[in-house]
Formats: sequence, C-alpha cells, structure tokens
Amino acid sequence: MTSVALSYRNSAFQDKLRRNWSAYLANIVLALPLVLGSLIMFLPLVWAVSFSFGQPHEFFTLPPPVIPSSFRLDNYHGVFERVDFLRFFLNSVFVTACVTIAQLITCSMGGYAFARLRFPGKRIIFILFLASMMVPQHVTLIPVFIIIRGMGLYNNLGALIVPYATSVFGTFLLKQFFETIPDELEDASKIDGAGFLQIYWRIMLPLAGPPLATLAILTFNSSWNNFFWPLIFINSADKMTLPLGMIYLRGQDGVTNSGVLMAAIVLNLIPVLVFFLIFQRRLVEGVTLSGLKGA
Amino acid sequence: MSVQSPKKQEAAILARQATASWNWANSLRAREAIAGYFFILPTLLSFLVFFLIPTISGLGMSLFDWDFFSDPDYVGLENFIELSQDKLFLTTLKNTALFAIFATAGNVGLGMFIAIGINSIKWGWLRAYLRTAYFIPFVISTVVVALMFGFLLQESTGVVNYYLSRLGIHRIPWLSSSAWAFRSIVLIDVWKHIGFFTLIFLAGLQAIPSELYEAALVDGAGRRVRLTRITIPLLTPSLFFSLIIALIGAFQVFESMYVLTNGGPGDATRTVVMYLFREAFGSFNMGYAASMAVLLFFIILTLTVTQVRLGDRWVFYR
Repeated sequence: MTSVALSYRNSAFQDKLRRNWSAYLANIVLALPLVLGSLIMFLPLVWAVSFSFGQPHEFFTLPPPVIPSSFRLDNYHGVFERVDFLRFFLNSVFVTACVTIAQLITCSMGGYAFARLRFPGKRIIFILFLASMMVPQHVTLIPVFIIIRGMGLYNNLGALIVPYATSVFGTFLLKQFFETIPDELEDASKIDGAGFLQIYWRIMLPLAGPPLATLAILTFNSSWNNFFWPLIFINSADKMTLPLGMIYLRGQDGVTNSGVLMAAIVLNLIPVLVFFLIFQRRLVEGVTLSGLKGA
Repeated sequence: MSVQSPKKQEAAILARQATASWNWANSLRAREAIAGYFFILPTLLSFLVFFLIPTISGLGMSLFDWDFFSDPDYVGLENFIELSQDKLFLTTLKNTALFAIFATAGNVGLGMFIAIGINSIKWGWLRAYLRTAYFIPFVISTVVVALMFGFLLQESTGVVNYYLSRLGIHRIPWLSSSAWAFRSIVLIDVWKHIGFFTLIFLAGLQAIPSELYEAALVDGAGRRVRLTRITIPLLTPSLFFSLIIALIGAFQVFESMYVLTNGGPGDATRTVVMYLFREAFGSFNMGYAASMAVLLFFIILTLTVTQVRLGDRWVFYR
C-alpha cells in the first residue's frame, strides 16, 4: 500500500521534472533565434560606433576592426571642422521644443472642448478633423509650400514649427482622455463660479499628465526625426536641423562613407538613445495605446 | 405694492424664477459655445490653413498646367492622361507597389511571429530585453539609418560583405545592382520598423484572456492547436490594423531611397513620392506633381477601403 503511494508520488514528481525540463528546453529553443535576431538590431549601431573611432587606412584593412585599434577623436573633430554641428543640434532642439510645447497646449485645449463643451457644429468639425488624418501630406504639399512662402517663413525655422503647432492626432488623444473624467469634478467648480478657462487650467490639465506625457514623447520623436519638411523649406546651413544637416555634411569633401560620417551618426544616436532609455516605458505605452501617427 | 393672496404671490415668484433660470441657462449655453470655439480655435485655424484649403487647392491644381512662375493653364484631366502614358511614372508606381507588398509582408509578418515568440518566453527579463532590442531602431531617424547602412553595405569595403565572405558567401552588390538595391531598401525598412509592429502585436497578445488558454489546456489542446485556434484568431484585429497602417506608410515611402540610392541604380528604387518631389521642386511642374499626389491619395484610399471591406470576412471580433 505504502509502496504504491510512494511510487505514484515518485512518478508524478518525475513527470513534473520532465515537464519542467521540456518547458525549459522549449524556452531556449524559442529564445535562441529571437536573441540572434536582436543582435542584428544592435550590430549596425556597434559597428557605427567602432568605425567612428577608426582611421581612414583601417577601412581597407581586413578584417575590419570591431573594436577600434585606438580611440582617437579625429573623426569627431572632422565633423566639427566641416559643419556647424552644434548649430544643427540647437536648431533641432529649438524646433522640437516649440512644436512639442505648442502641441501640448493646442491639443489639450481642443481635446477639452471636444470632450466637455457643447457648441454648434462640434460633431461635424470633429469628423472633418478625423478625416484629415487619412489624407497623405503630399496632397497638401504644394499649396502648403505656397502658403508658407506667403507667410515669409521660407528658409526660416518657423516653417518647421507653425504647420506642426497642433495635431489632429493629439487632439483626439486628449479628447479620449478628458471624456473619462467624471462630471462631478467639473460640476463642483462650476457651482463655485469657475469659468471654462479655469476649469481647463485648474482641473483638466493637472489630471492629464499621463496622456500629455505620451503626446509629448511621440511629438518629440517625430519632430526630431522630421526630414521631408526641412528638405523643402530650408536651404541655408545655419537653419538646418540634424537630419538635413547630416545630408549637408555628407555633401562636404571626403565625407561620403567615411569615419567622419560615422562620427556624426554616433553624435546623432547619443541623444536619441538617451531619450529612449529615459522614456522607454511611456514611448512603448504611447505607441501601443494609440496605434500611431506617421508609421 | 398691492396686496396679493399668498397663492398668487407664490405663482409670481415661481414664474420669475423660471424666467431667470431660463435666461441663466441660455447665457450659460452661449458662454459654453463661445468657450468651445475659443478652445478649438488654434486647431481649427491650423486645420483650415494647412489642411482644408491646401487639400482643395491641391485637388484643383491637378487640373492645371503650372510652372509656379507664370499663370496656370486649365487643362482638365490631361495631367492624368499624361501620367497613364508616362513610363517613368509607371515604373515608380510599380516600384512603390512592390516595395509596399514586400515591406508590409516583412514588417507585419515577421513582427507578428516575433511578438508571438517573445510572448511565449517564460523569463520576464528576456521578454523585456527582446522588446527593447527590436524597438530601438524605431526611434532613430530614417536619414541616420540610411547613412549608416550605406556605409556598412558598401560592396568592396563594407563590413557586412566582409563577414559574409568569411561564411563563404560571395560579395553582394547591396546598393549597386538594381535588384539588390531594391531588396536592401526593403530590408532596411524592416530593420527600422519591425519593432513597432512587434509592439502592436504584443499589445494584442496581452489582451487575450488567459482563461482561454487554461480552458484549452483542460481540453488537452497542444501548442499548435492553441496557436492556430486561439492566438492567431484573436490577433486578427491587430493584424488588420497593422496591415492598414503599414500599407499607408509604405505607399508614401521616400526618405530611405532619397538618402541611400537617390532612386538608382537607373530608376530601380525611385518611388512615386520621389518622382513627385522632383517634378514639384526640381522641374517646377506643379500641376503634374499635384496630379501624382491626387492619384496616390486615391490609390491609398481605395486600398484602405477595400481592406476595411474585406476585413469583415476574416477579422475575428470578440
């Protein structure tokens, strides 16, 4: 009797062990190709860094060094000798900051109105807004070019800011959020005689931290990487943002496919990767939450 | 003041109150409407100036022959007729469509399987690492990505070809042969965007209730059955969304080709938007460029509407 119970318990234990082992093995088999694939995502970045320290003659030596023979900064000096890299960077910072701040204000205002206020034509305006997300920007490109020129913003950083000062996507995002706020909060302050501006500023905005952060990060990322717009509107080097500045740098003597270009690429990667590491959670959240703009 | 019966007095007070509250409500409603317009003013202005007016004039412009400097000539649908006979336009259209098909298949297909793979790994730290690793390229600008790959994919001195040759694979003309340049552009696009689609699918996977899997286990369903009967059907909404987003994006592709190959070799990697860009800002054929944009818009619209229609048949909604 006891021996039967024991053997039963024993076989169950072995079964469990075997199942654990096979699960463990399945996990490894599954993870291996994924881990190898993830190396493909990193490898180009690692190579860019190592070549940014490389000397010209090393590009023709085989095998190409994965870890550079020396950490000389010649290529980095080369970047700053050829172009005003700091100016590109500051232009990017300025444009991105303006666009992001402007969108936080305009989108939260619009989102509040669409979610909480009643006014004639609200539904139709909102539907038109949504429809505009479906139209590719190239349809509006030439007329917008003419309008921007007419505003005197050609070759001006304003051309990169004004058209992006608000977004339908952001308005939609904030509207969805403001609709979830209970009416009682608003009613209480209405009885206290608060105006709509006060309600927006004192009650709505302080609650909207998470969606505003999501919007800020998505806007920051797309504005920082915007290339098409500067390509059309900016033609002097002192007004260029980083992506366009990179193309300008490539056009300089002896830069195409050189260590100097790699150094500039690394200088581009550093702020983006820092940004990514700090805001990764929110970025991931924002992307998955909202589908996305501009993919 | 005349003396009134208490009843009359009461009625008068009620009437006065009713009028007052009606006025009050009315003025509140007016104030609310004014506030509403005030709050949407920036968005509305931007919508009018940078979307509605440009869209209407963009549509109109496609009916004109206009070189930007002299007066536009009305030519009716002639631009569109010309487009249908323009060999270069048809080439760019073919390139764009092929790119859209391959890039979408790569991004969405691979993205889905990577997401399913990541999701079924038991170690949390490894899941987190993989998600981060695949997502990193998404935040890097396309220009930087293209410049970086241009360097790594050089035919004779590129690092990629060097390691491939160590594996016994002959040097690949990544960017110098027409066929390979096109493939390279697709591969780079997948490298950059796959993490985004992986995230969309991971979100879809997390939304699948675990009770379904538990029930399937009780019924003795194996791995494969669980995958094909639970996971994939319940992922169809994410798949549907991804396909729409990917196709819309792919039809507007421009930057990686512009930076990496400038449309070459020959016109092997020239897309509709590249041709449009050159016609508009290189040759100042504004009307012609506008007609390309309009055509592109209708292609995207048709594809999206078709997908939505077909979606009813295969997308599984709970």
